[in-house]
Amino acid sequence: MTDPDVEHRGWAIGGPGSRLRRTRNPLLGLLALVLIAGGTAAATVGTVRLVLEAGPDDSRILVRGTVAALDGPSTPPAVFVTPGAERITVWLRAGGLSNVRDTVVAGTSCDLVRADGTTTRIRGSRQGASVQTDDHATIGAATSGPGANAIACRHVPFGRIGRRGRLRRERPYIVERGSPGDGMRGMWLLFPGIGAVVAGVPVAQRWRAGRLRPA
Amino acid sequence: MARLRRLLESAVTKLDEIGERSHAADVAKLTPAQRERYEHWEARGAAARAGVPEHEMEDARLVGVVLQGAAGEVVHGVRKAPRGPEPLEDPDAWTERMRAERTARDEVRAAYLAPERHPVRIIRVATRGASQVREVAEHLATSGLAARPDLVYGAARVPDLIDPGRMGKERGGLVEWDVVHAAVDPLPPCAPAAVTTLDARDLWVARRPGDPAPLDEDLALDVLARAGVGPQATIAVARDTVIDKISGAGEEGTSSILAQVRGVHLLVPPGATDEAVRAACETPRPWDLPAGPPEGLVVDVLQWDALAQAVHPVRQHRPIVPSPFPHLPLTPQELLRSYLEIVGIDPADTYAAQVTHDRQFDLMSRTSTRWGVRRTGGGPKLPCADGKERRRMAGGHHIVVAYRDHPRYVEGRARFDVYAERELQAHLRRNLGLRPPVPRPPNRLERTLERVGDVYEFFAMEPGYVDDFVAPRYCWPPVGR
Repeated sequence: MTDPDVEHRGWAIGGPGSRLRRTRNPLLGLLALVLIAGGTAAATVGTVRLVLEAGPDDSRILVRGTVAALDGPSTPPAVFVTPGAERITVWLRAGGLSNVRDTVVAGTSCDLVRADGTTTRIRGSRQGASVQTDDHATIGAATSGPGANAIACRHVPFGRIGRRGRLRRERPYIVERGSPGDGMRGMWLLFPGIGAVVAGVPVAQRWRAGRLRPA
Repeated sequence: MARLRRLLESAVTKLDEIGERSHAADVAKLTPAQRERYEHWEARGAAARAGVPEHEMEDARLVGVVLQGAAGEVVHGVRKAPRGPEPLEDPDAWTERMRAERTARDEVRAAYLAPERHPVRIIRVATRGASQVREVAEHLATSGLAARPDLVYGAARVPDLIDPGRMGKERGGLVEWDVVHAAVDPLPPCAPAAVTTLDARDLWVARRPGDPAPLDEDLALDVLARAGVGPQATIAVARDTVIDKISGAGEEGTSSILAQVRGVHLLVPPGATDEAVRAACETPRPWDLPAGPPEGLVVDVLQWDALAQAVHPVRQHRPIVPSPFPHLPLTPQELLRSYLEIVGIDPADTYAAQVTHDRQFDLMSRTSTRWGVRRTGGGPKLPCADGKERRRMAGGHHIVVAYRDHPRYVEGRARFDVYAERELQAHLRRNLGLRPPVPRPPNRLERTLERVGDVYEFFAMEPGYVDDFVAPRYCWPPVGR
């Protein structure tokens, strides 16, 4: 738009005869660049790691099994061996709508029997929060014993009777070494990365505004 | 029984008289535009009672509004916009057509121009938001205008938001200023202009609840009068306008881009004039300030946004060219120039000439041709003062010109009114809503209830109503009750 009423004259300072010039602190600019570029890179890497690593990982899988259907016959227990006491996580393979999946997770219970005969019940409805990926959701975590451990899972009644049909079929599960958060380490890059970008914007603005000094 | 009836009739008559008096008092408080609407509806009621069919009566939607004529009918929904040629998108074709339309408007305007008039040049410079006033003061020095306030009509921040999509506030962003002056030849450089800023949040003048709040220029001109500084020694009185992006400030939690005035800058030559202004600001506050500008001075405020709705319907775009209403000015600067040239104002008599805002104004209005759509994107990149092209949202609600009055300006204003009403078909001083009454501050009980409500909303996690109270400028809190 060329407004015939207005003459554009450039910057108010810094022209011929101006006694003021704008100076910018290169360190502030560098800090802004590091925060914004570094934060963006960290957030990107964090997101990629989350996508790739979240959920059970083949290298950590101890055993696979099948969750018995509600009111159905039991499935054979899955047996795995650990050299000592180790943290293990049970992942249910379940996709679908989140509310359906939540019901299925809450309606799953596993019994872990260690070599020394001690048992632990892992209930999907009693975990603090279920970590969920596209196809997997945690039932819970427990500590295995040294030697052979057997785990058996089945769907148990949960929620309204009319909605229990979704529990009346078998589903595969995975026992994985480690805790549910092991695949979530990308968060340590994602959130600080976002924080760095948010902090970098005002620093960049401060750098861009500069300081007025005598020419 | 007859006595009882007489007593009842007397009581009813008394009640009628009280009602009439109360009604007359309410009518007396109406603004001219409200009165026009009131009288229109009274006449319409009388006509309806007399059996006049509705289609023969004047359309109520154009009563008391700024824009009349074809543009007013379209803007106020009396009729649909006529289908004209497609708006030009190509910048060169746009400019060529715009200049042709402008030439035609200039020819119409020529008949109204003041016989004695001064050149009007509008210089636009780029600054950074954080240091804008200091940079403009320096520009006034390098251009030599700081030493020739008699040649300056005014200077003010351009109320457009540049780069609306960028993050953060305006401190690091580009803010443009317009300097309106009459210097034709280059001037020798001089010392920078001195700037005194009156913060609108401070209590400067005493007002009671219900009194009219002062306009920024009322206070600024009063300070200058106390300092003994006339318009010939004043470079500019400029409202300190900021444009803030605010999340969830609008209705239903929508984001807003609010233009608001947070004070007024007084730009004067350095030295004795500046010292006198600063000394005047040291007067014990709050001081008494009569409503309106000091005696002998004029603060003329004109509507711009009402015209912009017709010619520049989407802020991020260029004004529509070919204009659907080519008789209307395309930019606020064109209207400002028309005013200065038709009234024939001498820059030595002028304190302020600015396109600006008054009350909080949401730039997110008129950001799309679709009803209910609010957005910051869209629109071409447009030239900025530094020569680069950027996206921008055009602001500007009012045009404010403050000057020392003179009999020839009285004639000039009459000429401008004829021009506005005949050629622009607009009543530019309607519905300005200037100097609104100062509200009564909440008492202790109301404040306590508000706090209890805030605490309840916090714990109930219910989004409460957005407190959109904006304190009147320079006079809050009011004195007395």
